[in-house]
Amino acid sequence: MTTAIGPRLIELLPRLRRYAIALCRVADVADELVQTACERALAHPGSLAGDVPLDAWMFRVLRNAWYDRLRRQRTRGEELEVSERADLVAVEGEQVPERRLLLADAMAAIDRLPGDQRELMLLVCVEDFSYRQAAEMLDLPIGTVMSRLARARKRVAEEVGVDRGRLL
Amino acid sequence: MNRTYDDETLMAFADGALEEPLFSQVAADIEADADLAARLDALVMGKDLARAVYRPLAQVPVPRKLRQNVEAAIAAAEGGKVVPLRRRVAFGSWQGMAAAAAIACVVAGPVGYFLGQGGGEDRPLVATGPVEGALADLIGTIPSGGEAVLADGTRFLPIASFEDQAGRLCREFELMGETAALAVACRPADVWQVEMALAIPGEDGDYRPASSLPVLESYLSAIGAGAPMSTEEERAALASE
Repeated sequence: MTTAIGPRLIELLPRLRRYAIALCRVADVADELVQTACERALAHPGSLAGDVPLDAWMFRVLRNAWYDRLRRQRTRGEELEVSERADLVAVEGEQVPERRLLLADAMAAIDRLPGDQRELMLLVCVEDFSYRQAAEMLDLPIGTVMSRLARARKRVAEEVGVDRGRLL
Repeated sequence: MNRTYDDETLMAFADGALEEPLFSQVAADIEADADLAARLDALVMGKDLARAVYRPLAQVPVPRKLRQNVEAAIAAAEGGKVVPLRRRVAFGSWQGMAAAAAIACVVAGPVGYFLGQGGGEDRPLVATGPVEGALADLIGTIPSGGEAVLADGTRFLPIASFEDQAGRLCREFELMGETAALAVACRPADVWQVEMALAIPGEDGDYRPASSLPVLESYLSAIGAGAPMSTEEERAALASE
């Protein structure tokens, strides 16, 4: 018997959306991706294996949807319409100007990371997936996950400045 | 003795992912080696910055359109029985000044009785004003999408919570009893006030007032209603007095 995943999907939406924004960096596109991923998941609930957590599975479905889209773009020469950058969302509510600047710089530094590094930052540093879980989700050797992640963390810290980072 | 470690090992140390005895060995070496400590610092900082940037993104309310589309997809796939698909108010679509003018009539009209607070033979449909007793408790506690029943059998169905432009917590809800109403109550201080109430079709659907939705939308527009809160935001908002 399959269990309905609907209610848990709704709960996951904010995190799925955040992951989608980390992948594609454009809020509009992120929303389309989340919707596509949810529709795919609902169409094939049987592919959720018993021991895989729903969030890890959904992240994977979302990621596949993103790469399908990228492939389509390449074949059709489609352009992503960058109408609404998702960044600055985190900064808007910040009251302290120094911290605001710091977060804006951190956001820009993360934005400049290669996509595969940015994705790992989100999965491991923010979503708290283990290196192994991330490796499984991304079909990568764990050593590759760790070296990419370490590179990304070092680079962001260096670009922002470790001393400034202490404002956090 | 100065041992050195690669970034991956230092990062695993920072993340608590190293096994003993390596963990203790790295810990001791970091104590004694400022360069090692600085490299560790950068790796920790990189993580902290990523969290600081991304954490708030999950607090941003999910756009209404996305949520509705996903709810519709769930309803199509799972028969609509799992997620309560109560109508979501279209906060974004303004209906213009004509409809806004209609609100004044509805709100100011001599419509008397408010559900749950008494009754009488000559029972007009809806009215506004402070809410007390059991209904106030339900407005203050039942999460949107949930349901509760008042002593007289009237069902209380909260639809959404939001803040208005003045930062007041407001809730849109339906009452289904002998009469049916769609209402918005706000909590300016610690008392819930019904600020707008409209007659709506009852569960047998026999009474159908003209276009309650456009009026509601205009009303929400007029008070500067924000997007519906997420479950967590609503829980926190209701808990705070």
